[in-house]
Amino acid sequence: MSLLQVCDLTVRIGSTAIVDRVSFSIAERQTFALLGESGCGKSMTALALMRLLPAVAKVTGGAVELNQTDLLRLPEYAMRRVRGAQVGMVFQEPMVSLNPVMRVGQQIIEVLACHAVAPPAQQQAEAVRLLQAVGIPEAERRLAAYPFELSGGMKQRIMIAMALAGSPRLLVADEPTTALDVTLQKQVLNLLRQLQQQRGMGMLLITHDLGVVAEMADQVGVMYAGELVELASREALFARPQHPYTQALFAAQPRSDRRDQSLRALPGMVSRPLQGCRLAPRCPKVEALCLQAAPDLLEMAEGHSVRCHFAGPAVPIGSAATSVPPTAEETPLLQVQDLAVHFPIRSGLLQRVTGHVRAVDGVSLAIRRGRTLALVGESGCGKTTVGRAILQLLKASSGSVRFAGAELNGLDRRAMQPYRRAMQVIFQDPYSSLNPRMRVADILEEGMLALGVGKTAAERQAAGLRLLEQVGLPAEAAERYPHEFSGGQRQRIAIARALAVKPQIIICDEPTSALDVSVQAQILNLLRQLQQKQGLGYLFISHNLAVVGYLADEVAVMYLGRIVESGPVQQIMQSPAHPYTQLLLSAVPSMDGTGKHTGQLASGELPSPIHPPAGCHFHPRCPHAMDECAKTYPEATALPGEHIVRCHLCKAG
Amino acid sequence: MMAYLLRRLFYAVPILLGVNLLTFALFFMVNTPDDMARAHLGAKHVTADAIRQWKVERGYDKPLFFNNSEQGLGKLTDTVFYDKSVRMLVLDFGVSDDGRSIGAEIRQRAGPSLMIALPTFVVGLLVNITCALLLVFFRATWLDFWGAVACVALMSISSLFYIIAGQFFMSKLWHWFPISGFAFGVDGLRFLFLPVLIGVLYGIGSGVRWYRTLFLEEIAREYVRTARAKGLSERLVLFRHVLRNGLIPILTGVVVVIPTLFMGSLIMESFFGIPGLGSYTIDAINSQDFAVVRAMVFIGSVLYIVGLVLTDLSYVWADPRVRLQA
Amino acid sequence: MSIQPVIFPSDILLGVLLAGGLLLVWLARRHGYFLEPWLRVGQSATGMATATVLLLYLAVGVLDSLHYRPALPAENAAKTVEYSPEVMSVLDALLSPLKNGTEKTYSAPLAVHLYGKETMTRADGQQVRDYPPALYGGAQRPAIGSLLLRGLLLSLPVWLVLWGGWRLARRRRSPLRWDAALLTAGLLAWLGLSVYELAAHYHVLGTDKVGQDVLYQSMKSVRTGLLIGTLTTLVMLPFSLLMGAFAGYFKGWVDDLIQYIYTTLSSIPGVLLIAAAVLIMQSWMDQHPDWFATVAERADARLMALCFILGLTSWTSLARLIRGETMKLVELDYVAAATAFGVSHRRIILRHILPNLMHIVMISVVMDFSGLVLAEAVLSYVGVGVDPTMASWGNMINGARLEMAREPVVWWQLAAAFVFMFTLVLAANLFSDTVQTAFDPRTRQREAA
Repeated sequence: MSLLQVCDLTVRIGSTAIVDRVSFSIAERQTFALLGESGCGKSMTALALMRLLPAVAKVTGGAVELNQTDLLRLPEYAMRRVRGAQVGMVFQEPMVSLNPVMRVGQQIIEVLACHAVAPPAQQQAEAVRLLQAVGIPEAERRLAAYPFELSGGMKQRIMIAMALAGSPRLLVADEPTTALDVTLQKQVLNLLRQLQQQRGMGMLLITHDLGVVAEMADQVGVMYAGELVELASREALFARPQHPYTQALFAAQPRSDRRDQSLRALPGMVSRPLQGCRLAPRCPKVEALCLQAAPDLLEMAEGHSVRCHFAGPAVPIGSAATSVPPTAEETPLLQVQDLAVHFPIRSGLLQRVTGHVRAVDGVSLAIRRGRTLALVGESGCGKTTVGRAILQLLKASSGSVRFAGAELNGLDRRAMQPYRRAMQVIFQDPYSSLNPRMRVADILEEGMLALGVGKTAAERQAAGLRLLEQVGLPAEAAERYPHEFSGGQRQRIAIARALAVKPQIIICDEPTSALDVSVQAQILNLLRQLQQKQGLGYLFISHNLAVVGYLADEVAVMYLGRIVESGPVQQIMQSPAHPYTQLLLSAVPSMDGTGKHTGQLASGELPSPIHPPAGCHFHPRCPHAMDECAKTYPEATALPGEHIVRCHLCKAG
Repeated sequence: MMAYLLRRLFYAVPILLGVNLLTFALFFMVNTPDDMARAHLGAKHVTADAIRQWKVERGYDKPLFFNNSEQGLGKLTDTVFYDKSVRMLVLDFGVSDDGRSIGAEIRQRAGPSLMIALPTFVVGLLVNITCALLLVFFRATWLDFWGAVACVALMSISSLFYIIAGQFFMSKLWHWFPISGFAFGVDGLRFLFLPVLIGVLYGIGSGVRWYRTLFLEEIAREYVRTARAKGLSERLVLFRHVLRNGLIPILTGVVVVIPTLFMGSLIMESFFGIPGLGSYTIDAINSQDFAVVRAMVFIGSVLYIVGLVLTDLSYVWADPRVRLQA
Repeated sequence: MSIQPVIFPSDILLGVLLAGGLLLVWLARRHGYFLEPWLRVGQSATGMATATVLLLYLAVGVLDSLHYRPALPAENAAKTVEYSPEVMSVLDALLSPLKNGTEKTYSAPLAVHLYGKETMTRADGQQVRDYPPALYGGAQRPAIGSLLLRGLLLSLPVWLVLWGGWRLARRRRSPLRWDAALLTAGLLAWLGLSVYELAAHYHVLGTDKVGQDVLYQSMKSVRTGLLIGTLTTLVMLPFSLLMGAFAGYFKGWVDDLIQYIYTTLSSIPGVLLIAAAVLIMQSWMDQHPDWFATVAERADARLMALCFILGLTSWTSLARLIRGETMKLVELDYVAAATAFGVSHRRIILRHILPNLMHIVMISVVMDFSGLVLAEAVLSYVGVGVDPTMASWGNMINGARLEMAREPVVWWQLAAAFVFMFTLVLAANLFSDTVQTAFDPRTRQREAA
């Protein structure tokens, strides 16, 4: 007996079918994961079955049956009794999905009142029970809080409590952990799984993350360009993916055991050819038939359907060139010593400085030519600030940044100019990092002009074209504006812009975290290839341990403004010494598809850098905390092989 | 919280000083007392004696900033700047160019101004918010479309036409209200209806359009989608979620004008013969009475600054994010 | 040479403005991003229709800005040519029958006699009290119906040309809503030609107290309204842009200072600040009558001064908007990237900040326009508007409002001012709506949701 039955659901914006004849079903107590990259129509599917589509999108066909009732044919007033009561929904961004000026208690009680779950006298108590159920301590006090007083993870728990308030039979979770850090992701996923088991709900989980699927799903549907391309149980999908797109998703995952080769990424980007298979322009298996006839979703084995003319084992995409790490120099090119960036907090009548946000509080790093140093940490730990302070985009409070022996801190604008050539930067958001009002050619030329690279305009133009070729863009891109490019292409332009002044070090600030996994693989390959050719040194700032494991040579783990552990990548990934590093690693979902839930459960969240905990900053979250941890900040302990850790546990002896 | 408000008040001081200096510069340095006298005495060939006489009568004959002929503090206090500008800071406005106490006039005239401006403001605000919510409730229907068009049409009509047409049709032709006039007490109520009605009508176009935009902006936010996903009815979504959030930007725009209601409306009062501050100002402009205009400029700025502080307060009241973080 | 061209300062500024408009067109052709929002304006029927109306007003205003002094009839051939002290414009020349066809006093629209009865001596010497006939249009006037028919017939060729234009647009598959623009143009042509036919024999909108044709006055007022609406913005734009961008970019004490300046200025009630400034300007002008050779010159100087005063008192709100937007822009990564290249402040402001503020400037220019046209009327009523000798809607209303008490009512002057003003302001408001939708990324997002 299935709880939800979606049949040939079609949603259009204008004439484009953004969801095209999608069918699947969810049984009681089952988790169905809808997996796909951005723009594939997975969120629209979820909104369509709640009938909450934006005005431009219209359901043009199909049926959505919940317990034999077709939701698409219900009148609006009856649909309102389904929302919240029979189907609960959790959205991606807890920061903006709660009403900012309403106490969270009211927002929960609203559901209880609306669906007459509890009589008014008991609503308060019921709300407390719900908050306790989602693991919020001091539940009674929290009811009176406003959303802005709560941390991101707490807000998402509130969202879940709200979705559960009407005791729904089905929970729709639209990327519930995408906006959260990896440790919080783990907490929230565990919570969802546990609640689902307790309450016997069905769950529709929308995600782009294979790791989340591996942890959570019973059944998986893979979407590409609006169509469901593969439908299987999790075990079958992870063991034998049949569709070339699914196979490509697996192949594009960066992993530390793939670090000696380039990632296999599908070329190009999503398009919707007028006829034939939608994947045909990118598919490694493409044949004449694929270009003419669109395949149907056919059942290959028991419960395993694939939309492909040539479904079967994977063929390799392109050539996976093995990479030879360039020989590293011993002396670091860039040496950061005890760097601190404190932002003053002003308050009171006279706006006196009453405290400091210790965003960066004594960080030391060394970057060598031709090597990659990864700086890892949760959001808010100060890693981006380190990057900006090195580039002198922010003024450091103390410490030193030396490039090839020369001190950069305290240099004025003009004195800094010669060093600007040597260090460049790539940002996270490909949309805000390119000026929408400049042609690509002008964007590339800007740095050369400011730093005097290339003497004549013709010379600079020629250099621009060479750069575009280097990053894999056609020459005619030079005449176009950024908005004509996709996210991945924009990131290529940003890389070309950085390369234009022939830097020796590039600071990559989460360059792939806004990109889909297949595009991420393309960019990672490009970064690595450039490093090998030009001997670039990278400071790779990231929260994604899988990417770090794939790309980095050395790793520094940052917690609340300080480095807690650093060393060669193999040692850190395989034998982490600091409990925080262990926590981070254990929170990464395992991708084996067996559905084992191992690893310690991270607790708590990153504290505020205004009032860091006394002693070791990590001790309130640390499973091994001792008395000493609350008193003194641990000294650095050197472990074998340039492995340094700051933890009382690891002190010699 | 208190520190925050005190700081805002504290910021007002340099602004008031700035306004004071600016008006002094404008009225006494760009346009010298001699010019004033000449403009006032009218005839083209006035004698120097007449000018001096005029200036002495009004205290404009003293030096602007520094009086060398006086002793001690008198060097500073026996000047035009001290008499006309510094005194203003303690709300001592002196006399108008025709010799009457400005302070007394203001006290007398603030009441009538407020009797027109306050009802217009309150009724207008309620009507505008109601209409805007109505349009938003029926968004993307013909009602919303034509409502928005009507708003644009209404705001394209000059305020003068509202008054002239209102007086002509409702008073002269249909005899609903008296054409103009003013009286205190219950008896005076009949004089208030027409100006208030016209004031409200005049504000509808721009008001409704602005609030509608604010509400529409609010309704596109994600928390509204969450509210719908909970199964709330559209009415609840609108009143409990959208209205509450939409009121915050409305407050900032609206609270700032409340103190300036005292100033009255220039044209409204002159058309309807209301003895308020608006008609006082307009008379002063027409008779080129700079002393009165200067006083009104200063009062206007004081009230505006009070409005700014009130705006901050209302923010604190309406938005928990400000209340708890400031 | 029988005319002497005269160029008023306001004519120069209007020329600058038109040149600026042409520059925008040129920029739009060169930079795709500049053209794109305008294309969106063109794809809206409202946008195209209102743009047509606005262009018509602009044409009238420009014709009225080409000034000259006609030569006086030479007294004897040997002397040099003397020029009339009265400054004419091309519009005056085109409308000379209306300009010169004055009556003694009021007459209602399309009336054949004047407003008030007079005692007249008939040919037979008998004295009667009756409405005197209107002088204009002659004794033998064609009937109104036949004139309207002629107007309709005359507009037929225009419709044919417009229809051809529409076919052309269809064939070229133009994405713009030419149909709306051409239909509006057709209706305006029909209206214009009908009025043209009627105006040859009647005072279409009546005459005022001194017998001046009201239609002529209303058309002369177009230039005043346009100038107030555009020159003011032109004056304040550089202020707002630079002050706002500097405050938002440099922050710190620069920001504090600029914020202080604009909070202080905006804390003074706008009307009062304008009134004070205008009063002072007026008393200056009164003391220096020798500055201006002609009445028109004086009126023009006063108009210019009014634009400056309005501009200087109203730059604050735009500056505040620009400051806020600049602060957001400065935080964006592309500015950080430029800083990482060591690009100078000047270049960052010029290439990264200003181009990305253009949509705000565009929106505020079109939005302010209608407000300023309306403000002119109120200021003229208060007595601090344009020169009383200058044709303006405000002055028309001011002169006519007292006549509403007469019996029968003299309504036509007010009605004429109302119709002309309302059409312009409504068109401007609707146009600014489409511009706002096309330029503002936020509204576009909202429409999509």
